[in-house]
Amino acid sequence: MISIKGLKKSFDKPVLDDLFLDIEDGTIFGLVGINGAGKSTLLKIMAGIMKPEEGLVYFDYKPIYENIEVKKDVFLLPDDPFYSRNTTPENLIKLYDTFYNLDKVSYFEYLNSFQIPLKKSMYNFSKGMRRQVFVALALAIKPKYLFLDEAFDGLDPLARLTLKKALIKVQEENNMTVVISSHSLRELEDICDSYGLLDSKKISSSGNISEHLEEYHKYMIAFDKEMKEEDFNMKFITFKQDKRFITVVVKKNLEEMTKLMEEYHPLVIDEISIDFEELFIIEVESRGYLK
Amino acid sequence: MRKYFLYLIKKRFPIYLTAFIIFLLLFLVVNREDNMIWENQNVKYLRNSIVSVYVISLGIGLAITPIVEFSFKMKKITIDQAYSLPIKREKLYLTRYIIGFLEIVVPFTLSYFISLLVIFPWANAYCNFAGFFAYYGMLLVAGFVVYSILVFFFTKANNVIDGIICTLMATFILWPVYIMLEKMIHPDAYINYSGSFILFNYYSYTENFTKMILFDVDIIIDYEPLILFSILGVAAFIAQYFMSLRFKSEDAGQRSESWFCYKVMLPVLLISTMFSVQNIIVAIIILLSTYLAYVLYKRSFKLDKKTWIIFACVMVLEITTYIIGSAVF
Repeated sequence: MISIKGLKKSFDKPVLDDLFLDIEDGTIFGLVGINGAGKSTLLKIMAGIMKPEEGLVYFDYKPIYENIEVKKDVFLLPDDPFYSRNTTPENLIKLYDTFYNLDKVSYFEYLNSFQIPLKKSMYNFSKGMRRQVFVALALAIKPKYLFLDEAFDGLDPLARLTLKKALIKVQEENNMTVVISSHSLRELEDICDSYGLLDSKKISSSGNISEHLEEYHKYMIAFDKEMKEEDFNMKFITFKQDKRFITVVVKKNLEEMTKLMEEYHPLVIDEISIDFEELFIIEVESRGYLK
Repeated sequence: MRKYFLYLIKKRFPIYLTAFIIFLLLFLVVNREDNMIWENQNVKYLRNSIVSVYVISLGIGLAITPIVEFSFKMKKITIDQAYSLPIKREKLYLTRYIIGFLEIVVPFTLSYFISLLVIFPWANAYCNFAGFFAYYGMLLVAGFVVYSILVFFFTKANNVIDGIICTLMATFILWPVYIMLEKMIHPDAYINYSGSFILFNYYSYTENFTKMILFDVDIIIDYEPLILFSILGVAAFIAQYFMSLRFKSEDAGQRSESWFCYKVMLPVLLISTMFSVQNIIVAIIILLSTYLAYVLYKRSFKLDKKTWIIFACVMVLEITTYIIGSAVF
């Protein structure tokens, strides 16, 4: 289990402060947050690259910083990994093969499935192609703990699908713990068991994604006249009005909502599904960022 | 560490090969029979450069190597990669340190001895050829000391340009301080500047060996500066080892705020130089150059309060030392 206790990190100003988080073994955890929330910093601290000013990151009760035994089980794929003009997919693995038990067969299979040329300089690859190579590397290393920063950035839909499938397969086969930070929340929703929202230097909201989604309900309601938010004697998490239609998000189930709406004589109440991206926007809006 | 070491050796092989070819070509081209022998009153002599080509080329090689091996810590992308690997930081830096030294010393050694084999048939008659073996030992020791000092100062910077400037400042910093101290202790005496340059120290030791090789005379070694110079090198190596534990990945590419870089060296250089300057134009040029160096350091034309405070502290300390020193001596 990954256990983060009282983490604090500042640059010119505090980025993380008094951050606590537990991530269960064998799960895929989605780390979300707006730009500049500190996701990359948190992942770098979790990978033992940066030292926190206060607090520690434990892997099965062992701190990671300068602990080689723990670091052997951890691999971070940053959003912008290093490659030089001389780096080819073929020679990229030499460094990592020195430190990890790399599955070379899998690595070349992934590259083959992505149709990546092995002997060409990665300098001339597109961003997506480079990402595919590094993703293949991360999957071939098969670490106990895999951290992917902006995992889906630059990947086309087919490559995203391939990555998701491969990631789930490797994760299940190896009981790997995966932490993914991404702005592609729909992708995270597909593969993550749990999530953590990084906001105001802390994990402000976390838990099981589907359980969290079940807390919220989105309804489209039609009336015979135009209705404004102030016309209702109740609080909505979000409220959008389009002529005689309103779309609202509340923490009430259909039965409760129907009862509450009775006095306003709605023509139709339809529950529509809410996805993780909407939930993220709701959470972020409720903290006053997007209003 | 062993695996990483072997990985780097393999990766650096093209550098080893290139350095070997450059050294060998240089030695063979410079140390040609028609170029090295000169005649005076029917007596043939060898030119000094038959010896100095080795020390100069090794010195240049060792000055470039820290940039090659340690600029990884100046970029976020490369330092993050290095620090994510399961290797302790002191071992990471130690491996790079050894690899960097070998990168020059191995090709140098091979080309040195090959060139000796080539020149032996015609040069042996005009010199104490066995001296070249002692000379090689001296080059290794002095090379280690110089390399350690250069690595120490280069790695205290957070970007490559600062690293080069810090190394240059460290190379020259003893010069104005030395002049200031000499003026303080012996106001009317002739000042021998050469001993104050770190790299000149390295070069000056070779002069004794040059005499031994060319004129077959006994070596006279001035042990005092030699010991001091060696202590400096060993101290730089030890300090580098322990300080590498404190290098932070987030500092890469940032301003170089180390006490071993601009922060202290700029005011020391400026104040010490001012003691020895008598020409107002030179003084203005020095002041402007120092200000430009501060702009480069702070990346701003306006210097903050902290910079002025540190500057004032160094100035007060140095002037106090000068006044007390003048009174005592």
